[in-house]
Amino acid sequence: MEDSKILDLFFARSEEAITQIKAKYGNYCRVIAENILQNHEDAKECLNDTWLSAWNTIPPKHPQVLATYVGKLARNHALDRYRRDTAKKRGGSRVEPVIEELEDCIASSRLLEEEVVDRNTLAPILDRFLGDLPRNARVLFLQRYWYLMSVKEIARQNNMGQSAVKMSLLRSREALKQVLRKEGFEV
Amino acid sequence: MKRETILMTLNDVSDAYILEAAPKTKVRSFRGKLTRAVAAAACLCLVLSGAYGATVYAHPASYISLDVNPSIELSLNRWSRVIGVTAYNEEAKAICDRLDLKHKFYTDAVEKVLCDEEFRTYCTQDGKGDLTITIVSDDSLQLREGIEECETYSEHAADFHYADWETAQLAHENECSIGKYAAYEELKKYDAEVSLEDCNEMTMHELHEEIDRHHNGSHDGENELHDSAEESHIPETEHASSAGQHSETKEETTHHGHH
Repeated sequence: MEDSKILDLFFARSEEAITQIKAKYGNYCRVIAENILQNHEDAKECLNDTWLSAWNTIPPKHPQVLATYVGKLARNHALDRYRRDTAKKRGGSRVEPVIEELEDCIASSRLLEEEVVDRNTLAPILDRFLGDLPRNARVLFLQRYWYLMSVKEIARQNNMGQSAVKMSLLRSREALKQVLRKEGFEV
Repeated sequence: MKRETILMTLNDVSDAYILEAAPKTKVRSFRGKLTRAVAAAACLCLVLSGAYGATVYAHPASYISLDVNPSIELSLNRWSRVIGVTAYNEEAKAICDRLDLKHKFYTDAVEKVLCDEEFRTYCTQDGKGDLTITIVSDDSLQLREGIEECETYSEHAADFHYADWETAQLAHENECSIGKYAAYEELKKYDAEVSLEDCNEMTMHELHEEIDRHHNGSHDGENELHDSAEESHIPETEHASSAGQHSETKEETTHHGHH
């Protein structure tokens, strides 16, 4: 079913909307949640939260791209659950290594927990940074840091060696570091 | 900047970039599920039919017992392929060890046995090599016709006998070939003291001689013996009707040299 028709169902408050969105984007969201949580059952619960959030937010929201909208919902729910699980020290997630890798872009000694970075300021910088990256490097970067895929899986999906993937990610992080420094962020 | 800030802010980048990097998901469509289910069912059917086929293939549907002095028994499946070869004495063992009979079509297997030099020697020793072919089958006549069409069959003076499944079972329980066990049962009608061990030590020629001797000795006025012979498991055709008929047929076949 086309996204516009699914949105119509949401706006008509038809529960068929949930059935259709599950059928169309269930796998996509499941992969995102499972990548973050590394647990099938947790990911399943996370997906239920995702569909509920979609139901509660559409309307009033009218997403331009339904896939990324529910994908982001799933990602946020999974990251929230990850934080709760980390607090309970359950561990086993792929998030921590990813955060550690991104920390390279920020000087750890200068991490200011209390500093509030406006996401609205950072988002366009990241967007431009991604736009300047070669397509292949951008795909690898987002697969690692947006979809939280393992290096092995990224290499498999892109028909590359794992070391080539790691090298590309390292170069992209270095480039991001330069961009952030240029924009005045403490790095 | 909080540790997770970049990770979280990436949520706000262009949808196009996010979609561009979307991982290939394994779509578990209904059609895919159906295909897998059908494939699994087909595999299961294949395995079951294979197992059933193997069971049926290995299940004996007929027996052909070739007895002279050597006693060789062929077990056939429903497709008349040899699935078992049993040698009931040393002479038979020597022959069976030499011949590769398993999985052959029964006529080829019988032909091989009949062609074997040693087997032929037993069949032709001074006219005392009675070859008895005993068939246990629901389709005995067809098996017989097949054997009669064997190239070397005409060189042998063979008697055909038919036995039932009960006789076959009793023979196997007593580790005896069906042909010899049927002859033992026949002889026992005349001589209650004869044992299976005694019969096992006799050639088919000797057994037939004994049966004929008893039969001829008691032929006059002993109709009850005749009647009881009619109830025997062995006889159905030549040998079947009576011991007398068996002897007559034998003489006839021996006289003509060919059956």
